[in-house]
Amino acid sequence: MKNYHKNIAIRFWIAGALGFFSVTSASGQDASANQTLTLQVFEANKIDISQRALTLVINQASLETGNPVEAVNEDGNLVWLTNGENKKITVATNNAVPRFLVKVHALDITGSSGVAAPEIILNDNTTRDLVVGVTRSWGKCKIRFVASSRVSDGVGTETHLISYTITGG
Amino acid sequence: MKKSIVVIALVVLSFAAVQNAMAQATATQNVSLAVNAVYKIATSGNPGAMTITTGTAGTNALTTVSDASTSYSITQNFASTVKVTANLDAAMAAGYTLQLNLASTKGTSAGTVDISATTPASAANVVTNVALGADANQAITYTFGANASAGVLASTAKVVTLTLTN
Repeated sequence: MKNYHKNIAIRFWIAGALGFFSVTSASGQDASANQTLTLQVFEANKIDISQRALTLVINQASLETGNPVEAVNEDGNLVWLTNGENKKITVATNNAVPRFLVKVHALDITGSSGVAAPEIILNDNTTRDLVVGVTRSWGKCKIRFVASSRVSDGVGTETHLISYTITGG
Repeated sequence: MKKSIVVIALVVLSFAAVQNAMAQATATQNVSLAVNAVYKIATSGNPGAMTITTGTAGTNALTTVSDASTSYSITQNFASTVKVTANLDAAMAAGYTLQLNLASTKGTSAGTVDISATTPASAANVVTNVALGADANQAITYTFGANASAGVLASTAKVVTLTLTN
């Protein structure tokens, strides 16, 4: 009787061991795993000017005309970035009634898109187009300022705070 | 004396009987064991949404965004040449990039790998020479990039598959 119980116990142990090993060998195969990523890109517009401040000094006159000679500055570079469509770059001065004449123009545009608008006279604080047709691009241009005066304007100083904006679309 | 002989005889007889009983109390069986190759990889979940919102004026490449919030774990008993590969469900559109970095203490990480052009038919190695055993909770880092010239991108789901293979 004792031997009978012992044999039964042995059989149970072997069956259990076999079962364990067979489960182990079948369970392994999760050989890949997935992750779902959510990606998006918002519209991004950036603009910057390399020349934070400049001074235009008219201190000469033309012997032929008698008028003061224009002062010109082309040292500043405007850079921009947009991933939007049909954008434009505008320019405006905060000086609503300037005494002396100031003109601004975008030159030598580089980058994937953008066309310079005609030279702008900053004779009030109206916002005007400087570069148009900017679509999904980055670029830069030279900013040309021309200051001039008439003899009748006399002498003096004045300031303009110029704002460049990438807008539209 | 007669009594002792009888006792001794009884003892001997009992011993013999026990011996005989013990000789029939064991049986043998041959047990064959097999351990198959085991490859197991799992991730901790999905990373958070990656959204590009800005860039630098004058530069086409927008500012990249990264996510390192998820991890992966592996177990393998096959060989020390096992590797982890990664692929997308479909390649990224032009102007968008996705990079992946898998940390590893059991294998050699390939560092930051560009998986932008991968597909189910063309996976990239991200960890190689993974030693036998387990490597738990290793960091996964994604980096998403875009060019301004590619435009905006509405919320898009991309599936990345990590595969443990030999």
